[in-house]
Amino acid sequence: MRKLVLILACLSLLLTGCWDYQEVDRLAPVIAIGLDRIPGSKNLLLTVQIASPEGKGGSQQIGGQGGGEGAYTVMNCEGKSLSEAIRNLAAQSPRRILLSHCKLIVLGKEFAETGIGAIPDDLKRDREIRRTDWILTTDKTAKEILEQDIALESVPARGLDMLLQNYIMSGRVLPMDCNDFFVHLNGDAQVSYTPLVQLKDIDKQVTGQLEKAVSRPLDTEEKSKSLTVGRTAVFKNLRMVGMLNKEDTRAQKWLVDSPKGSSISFTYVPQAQINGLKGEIFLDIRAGKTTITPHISEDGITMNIAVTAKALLHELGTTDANVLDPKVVEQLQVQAAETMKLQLGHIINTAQKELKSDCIGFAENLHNYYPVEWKQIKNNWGDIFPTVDCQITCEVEILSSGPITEPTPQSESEE
Amino acid sequence: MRPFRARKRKKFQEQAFDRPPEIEAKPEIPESPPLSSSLADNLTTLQTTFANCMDLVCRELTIGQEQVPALLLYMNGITDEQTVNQDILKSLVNIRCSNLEASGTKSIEMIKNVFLQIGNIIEISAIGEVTDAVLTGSVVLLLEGNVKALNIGTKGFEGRIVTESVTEGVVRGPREGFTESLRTNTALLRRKIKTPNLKLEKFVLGRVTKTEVNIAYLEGTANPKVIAEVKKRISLIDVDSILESAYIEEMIEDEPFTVFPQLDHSERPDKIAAGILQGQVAIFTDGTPFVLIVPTMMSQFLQSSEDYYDRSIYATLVRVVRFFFLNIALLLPALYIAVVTFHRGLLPTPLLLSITAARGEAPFPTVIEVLMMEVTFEALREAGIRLPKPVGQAVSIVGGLVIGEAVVQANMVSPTTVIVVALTGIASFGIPSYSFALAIRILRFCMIFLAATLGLYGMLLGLLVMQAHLVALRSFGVPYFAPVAPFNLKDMKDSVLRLPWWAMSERPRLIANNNNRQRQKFFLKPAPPDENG
Repeated sequence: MRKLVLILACLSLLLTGCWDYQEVDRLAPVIAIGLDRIPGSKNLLLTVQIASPEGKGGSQQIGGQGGGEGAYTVMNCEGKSLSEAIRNLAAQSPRRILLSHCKLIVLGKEFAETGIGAIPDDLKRDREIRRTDWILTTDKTAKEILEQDIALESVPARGLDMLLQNYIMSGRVLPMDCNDFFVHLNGDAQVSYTPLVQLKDIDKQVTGQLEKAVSRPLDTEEKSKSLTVGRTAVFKNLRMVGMLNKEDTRAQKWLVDSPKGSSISFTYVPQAQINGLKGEIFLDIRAGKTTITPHISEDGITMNIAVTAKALLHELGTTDANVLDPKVVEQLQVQAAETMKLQLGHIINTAQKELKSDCIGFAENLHNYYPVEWKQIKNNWGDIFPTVDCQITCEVEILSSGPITEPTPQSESEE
Repeated sequence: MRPFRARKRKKFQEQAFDRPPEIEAKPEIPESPPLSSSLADNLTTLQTTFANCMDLVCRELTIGQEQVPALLLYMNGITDEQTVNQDILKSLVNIRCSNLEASGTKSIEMIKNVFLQIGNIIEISAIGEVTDAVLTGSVVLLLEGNVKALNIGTKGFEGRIVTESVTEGVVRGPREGFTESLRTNTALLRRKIKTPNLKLEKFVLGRVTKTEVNIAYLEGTANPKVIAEVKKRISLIDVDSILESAYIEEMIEDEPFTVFPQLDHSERPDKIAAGILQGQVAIFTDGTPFVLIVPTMMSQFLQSSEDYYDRSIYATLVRVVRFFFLNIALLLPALYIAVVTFHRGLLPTPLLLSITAARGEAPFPTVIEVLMMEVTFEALREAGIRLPKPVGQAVSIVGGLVIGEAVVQANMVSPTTVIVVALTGIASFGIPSYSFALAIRILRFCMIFLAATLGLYGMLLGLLVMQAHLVALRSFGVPYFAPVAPFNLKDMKDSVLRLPWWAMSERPRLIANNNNRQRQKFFLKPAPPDENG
């Protein structure tokens, strides 16, 4: 017995070992991965953004192609598959490539459009890549995105990571991590979606506008482009089929998630018995719920969509509406609900007619409510989906109008 | 596994028995030659025994009208000179009455019963008893024609006064600490526990040092089995010297091959009294202020006597913090090595980046860095203890500079490592028991080794083995890891938690005599007076 214990104890120490021992300063922590399609036999271009801690404090090392202050380095490598590309990358890097700190996976436009193929499998199989990594698509190439600096953060991928994390609580875009993305891809509709990251020259645009306004050239420094996340890319059968615009993206979030955290803006028009001025209203939705109830009848499938939202009044704009008057509030609520309804109708139309892909969660609801019937229509869902009829009801409740009750007098605009 | 060890021990004992004894067997009192009736013979024998002992005082005198020759024998320095002069010599010289007979035992009895103004007198009749009495500080009176002598207790010697305990300071609580004098120590205890049930039993250990050892317990409260076991184990000790209670500790503990101390010790009378009151047995050793207390459970090493004097909520908080400290002191460097060199995926990205940035061009692997700093820290601590106080400050300045500044400046060690080692150092000072902190110190190095070779897997293996060892340990039959394993909800009242006194109405189950567990009335929770009167 004693001998056995001794032998077991020795084996537990000897049979394993320090094979994956590695000092942190010999590691290259990859923060973001970008994937692009290139012609040739090695048709995958892998771009990685590696944080270089040495550049964080001092200026000992100037970052590679990424430029900036050396807080990160961008490296490229091609390969037939993701794993091969990563192996090839290791041949360039004196430090060991560490993928467990990866935050983002960016899919280039061409790559997404030609089909992401075996990538989900590769990502799921890799021991170091986590299922909680964000997945993003871009309308440019992933390489361009990963080489772009971001404001306020030294490592751009970390900046995007923070941005997406903020979007969980409030935002127009629904952030997608790898796990959700794969689940949706294999889901009932085989349709998934990711936020779209774009490279926009916002600075140039606004400078131009401002120059027009003041009619003289502005004395500002030229800034680099900036990264924005505000739209959604829709994938069907491992292939990107289209991109939703901002309004559709917001409405899509209302449908598949909830209106909580997003906002509604509309033009208020005073109606019967109430006098006043028109004005842009901005509502901040603090709580809300979306229920989609499918109904199968002889005429076909109907979706009853009920959206409720509880909102705070953020801006009254130029209107002089008296928010203490219940009738006014009533009208504001009705008009806000109308706006929501309109936007919901638009996204449903886009999904059904334009993209012909169910990125709005109808399939899951149908499956849940009518599991037996779903089995029969499952294979034809692609054809059935555009014909689904929708009944939308929206309800908006304004909870509060902020710390002031009366609109601030805007005498100047009246003169 | 147990029979194996028992066999080994038996073999060892047999070997010891077979060896020709180098020191004479313990002088048994009946075997020692009796006193002769001739005073001159006795004097010769004793002078031979005490040859070259210049501190021996032989005062020859004659008593009474018959001028009976007598001899006073004592050791200079360990007897109370004033008592000898005032109470013994004066009374003996002043004996004027004439009926002291020149022979027989009556005269010595008469002296004892009538003339001597001393409380503690024993009649003795052997040479050995005389030497023992003299060596322990008594005055021995021998009388011509008597085969009996008087052992007059006049023990008195210049000892340290009762001062505040150095090793166990408190903010609130009694300030007195034990001294090197056994009688003072037992007196300090007796002053706290005023019941005849507090028993003190005497043992004399050490063939040469003849150290007096007392065991103290509360009859009816202490577990009789434990008392019997303590007595048995102590009586088995047969060594030539006992200079400190640690000598006894090492010979009576259950498991000799472990880093964990199985007996607690203290120099605070209140702590020992509290232990005795909950059914523990204290072992007092003459010549040291450290009193042993058994049986001991691991949780006791994380408790301080002040826990019972502070508000219970605060005491609980402090105990939780200590528990946290214990884990930090044991695991932090190992965890750091494991996570940084094996499991960097577990680190938050910003932390990974700052650790990497801080490491810079550090030349050594993280393990070597940690070991270097740990060894430096241990060396500094050791130096700080041994050096005289004024020099000690110099060491701490040099140490602080070396550890804190120069090593990092020279890019020898990464600053993160310095932070980790410093935190570990602080945490290890948070463990109240010094002997337990030593155990943690040793285990920390084992954990560092395991983490450096096997990462978290190794640490878990180490913890598993440690845990198995801890639950298997016994201290005088009481499970070391109690009350957690075996779990006992009632004993948990005084473990990591410290409930208010009114809630702890029972003594710990595993320590106290189970027939007498209730220590106070139930439902003593205080409440404001009833408003209706």
